[in-house]
Amino acid sequence: MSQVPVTVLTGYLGAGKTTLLNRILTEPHGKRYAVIVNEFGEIGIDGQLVVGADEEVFEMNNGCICCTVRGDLIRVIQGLMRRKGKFDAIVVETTGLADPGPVAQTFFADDEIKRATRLDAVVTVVDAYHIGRRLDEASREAEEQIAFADVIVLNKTDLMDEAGLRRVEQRIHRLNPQARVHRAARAQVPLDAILDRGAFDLARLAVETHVHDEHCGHDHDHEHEHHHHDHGHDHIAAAGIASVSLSLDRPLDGDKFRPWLQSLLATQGQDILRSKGILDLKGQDRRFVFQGVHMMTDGAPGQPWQPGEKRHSQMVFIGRKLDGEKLRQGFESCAA
Amino acid sequence: MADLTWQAGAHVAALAFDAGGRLGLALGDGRVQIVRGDKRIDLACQDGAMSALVAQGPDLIAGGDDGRLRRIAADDSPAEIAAWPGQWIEHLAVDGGRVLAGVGKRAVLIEADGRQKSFLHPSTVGGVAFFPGGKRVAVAHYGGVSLWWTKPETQEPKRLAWKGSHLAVAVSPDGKYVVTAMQENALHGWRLADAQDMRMSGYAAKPRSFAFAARPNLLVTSGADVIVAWPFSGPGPMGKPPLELGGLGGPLVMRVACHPSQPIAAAGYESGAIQLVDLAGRRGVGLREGGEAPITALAFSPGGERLAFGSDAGEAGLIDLAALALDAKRQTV
Repeated sequence: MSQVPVTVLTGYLGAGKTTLLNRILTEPHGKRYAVIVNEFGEIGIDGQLVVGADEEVFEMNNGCICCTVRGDLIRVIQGLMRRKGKFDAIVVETTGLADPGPVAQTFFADDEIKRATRLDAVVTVVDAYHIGRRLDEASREAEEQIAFADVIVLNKTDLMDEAGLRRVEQRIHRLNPQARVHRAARAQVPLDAILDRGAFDLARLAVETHVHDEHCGHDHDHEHEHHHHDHGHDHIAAAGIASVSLSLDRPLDGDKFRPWLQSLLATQGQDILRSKGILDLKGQDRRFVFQGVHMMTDGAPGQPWQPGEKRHSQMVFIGRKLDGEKLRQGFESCAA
Repeated sequence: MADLTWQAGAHVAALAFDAGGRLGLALGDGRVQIVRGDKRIDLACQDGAMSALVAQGPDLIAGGDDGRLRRIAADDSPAEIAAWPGQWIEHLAVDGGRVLAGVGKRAVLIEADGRQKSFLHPSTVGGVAFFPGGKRVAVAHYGGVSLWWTKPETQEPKRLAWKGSHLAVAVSPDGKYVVTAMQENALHGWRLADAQDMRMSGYAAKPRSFAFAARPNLLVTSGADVIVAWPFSGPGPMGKPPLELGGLGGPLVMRVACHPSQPIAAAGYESGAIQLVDLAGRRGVGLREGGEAPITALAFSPGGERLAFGSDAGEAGLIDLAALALDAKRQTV
């Protein structure tokens, strides 16, 4: 059975989420969307499948993993599955104050949802003009929405000059070096930049040859240099979100790495929002790729190493209270 | 009467036989299909999905994702009972002339004369049930179950607390136990006399479908690759292992139904297979080998002589059990 792709659309009130959603619903792309919204009334397009959902969060206990999920999404998506064939994809709109964590975890934690749908990407609409002040105030929601994003639509760029935009982009990049950032005015971003991204698709991650980290630069088209023991981390605020990038040019021992990652996520998973890695495991001809949301991870073999290619491992963690030095030591202790 | 199968054309969300033997199917494309003998009529109710269907005497009561509750009279004419725009009506229970509907965070009791009473909960209703006799109702939601008396105008509910999301609720025929299906592949139960908790776990999937058998006193459940039946006689199931009945060596049981009078249960599997098990002798007999999609609805006729099923892909059927019963009798004589 084919899985229905789900795009999670998040962002502060007034950032341009509704404008973007209306574009998704009205532009001629030949796809039919079911939209799950928190507040009715803002969008009202005839003939579209729009369902309301209350933000109902609860803790789910599956074996040793405890995680927070959105019960309303489980209920609504299962209900929508009765109308299979009436829509091609789902967009979940969250409120400006919603925590994206439980939304994303819902698609990993519930077996029935996992079978019926696949999380395509978390898309965050950011108001370029106001985001600076939000981040200065260390707004938890604003930071999390950026940190969680696979795609960021930097909206209202017409209200900013180039230097201001660059500053905002740098701040976003430090919070989340993984996300693709698209500048836009009035949410005019090509829809194929936000839909059908396969951001949680391991098969797609598996064809990437490196993790995009803060050393990559925004446009990903310059030469990369991977230094030995290279790592970086950047604290936005003392208690705020930071990203830690790790790399190693010696192969890792899978039997050391797996327990290290498991124990790290078991103890700090609440604070680690997203993680991603492309690894060189000893004795393996192919890269090993993995990605995670809080405590839940998903991993698979990726692209083969080419003869003569310089092998290395790269990881990125995005989260709170990350001790970059301790993470680096832990990571390096997994060397074969 | 011979077995009958057909394509209903959309996901079968629920099935119900009314007292007159008419069968209704609530379908994912907004229709209610009416089946009398080998004749079928489609009632196009709305554009969304129909999500719940129960029988009330000679009538069928249908809930939809359009927030409307409809009564389909014996002459197949539908009439609106109530409407809550923007809500999904997924949970229904009946007692005599009364209907209990889950409407968002409320459970709404509709009396035979149309008067409504509303019970509010902290989160969306996951299931509704009447106690035997109808003086009390049980409503599942996050964090447990609320028990309400149907008479008083104002009251505080009795809360049965258990952390997590509760997705369905049933009350035992003796009124002594309340059982819920949980998000975490388990059932939870409460013995009302002493508020004792019962955790029934070990399932491979959510045991969403469960039913109390008329006799022996068993709770028959889905969610495993066999029918799991918990003994509820005497002091209850605490400390006792469940019976494991039937099974096809792999596919999970998606729906169960209990025969109205005999110690017989039916199971619908994710493979589309349907099996009948003897709850006393524990023998199983296959009624359908499999199909295109998981069974999503299963119901015995009021006399228990027919079994109706529906699947996620719209396959539907009526199985004649009379011939089978004769065979069984011959074997036991």
